[in-house]
Amino acid sequence: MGIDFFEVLLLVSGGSLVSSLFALVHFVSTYNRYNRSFTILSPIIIGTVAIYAATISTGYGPVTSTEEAIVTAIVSILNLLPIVLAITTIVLFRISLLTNRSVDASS
Amino acid sequence: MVAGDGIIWASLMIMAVGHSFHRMGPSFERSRFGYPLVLLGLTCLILFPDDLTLRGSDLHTAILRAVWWTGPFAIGSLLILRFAPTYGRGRPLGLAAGWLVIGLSWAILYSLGNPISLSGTIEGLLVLMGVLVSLLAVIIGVTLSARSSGLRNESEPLSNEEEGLVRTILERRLEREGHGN
Repeated sequence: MGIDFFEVLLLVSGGSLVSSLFALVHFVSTYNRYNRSFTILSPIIIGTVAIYAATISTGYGPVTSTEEAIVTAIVSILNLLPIVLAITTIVLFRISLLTNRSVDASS
Repeated sequence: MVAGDGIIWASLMIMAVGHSFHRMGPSFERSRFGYPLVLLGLTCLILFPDDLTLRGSDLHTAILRAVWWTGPFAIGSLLILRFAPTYGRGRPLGLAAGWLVIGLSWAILYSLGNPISLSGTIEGLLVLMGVLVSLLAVIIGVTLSARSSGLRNESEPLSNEEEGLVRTILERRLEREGHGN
């Protein structure tokens, strides 16, 4: 079992694309009169670099590569969910059975 | 891109917008539309996609499989958090119901096939690395932006009405604390 360089590039660029796209949607949809930052530039720059990396790794055009990278990234993140579920189950086990803290001023 | 794929992307976008609206908090009118938008996106994502390409079909199947077991897991977690004896007395019945639902979600996960694989985990970690790179860029952007922008204007002093309101709130609060002690 091995992952070649282009697949690694596609996965990392897919992750960057997903989060930069989410950040862009967040900045645009939460825009209000108190916003005056140029923070929106950073996801645009990272997203552009990630699209370029995805086109290198797939060899397709920008749109197809972007779609491919994002789909691969989302499916791979969903692959990690069972591990998150296992960790959360252990935490819930602790919460429900092992702790019974008293309420005081500091808690 | 065919119509079915378009519905998937639009649904994901609507869910992201809904989440962002919700995170704005009650001071903004549009935060009220957060939950409905997320529900609308999720419903469209589950029910409507049809005539998908291979990529779209992969994505849709993966999301549906995840929803099948993350849904019960989320409900079970909420039940456990609500009825756990973390502070004071717990409610064993609610706790048992929570664990039952979580057990059900594990059963669904195992019935869907091999839940944890080495290659899947490595791929997921590589994607997380990409997410972290992007997150780091946003953090750097926010830091630079916060440093470059100084104080704008001094805020206006409180009006008489606002002063009265603040005084009333403080008095009520101090009275309540006095009675509590």
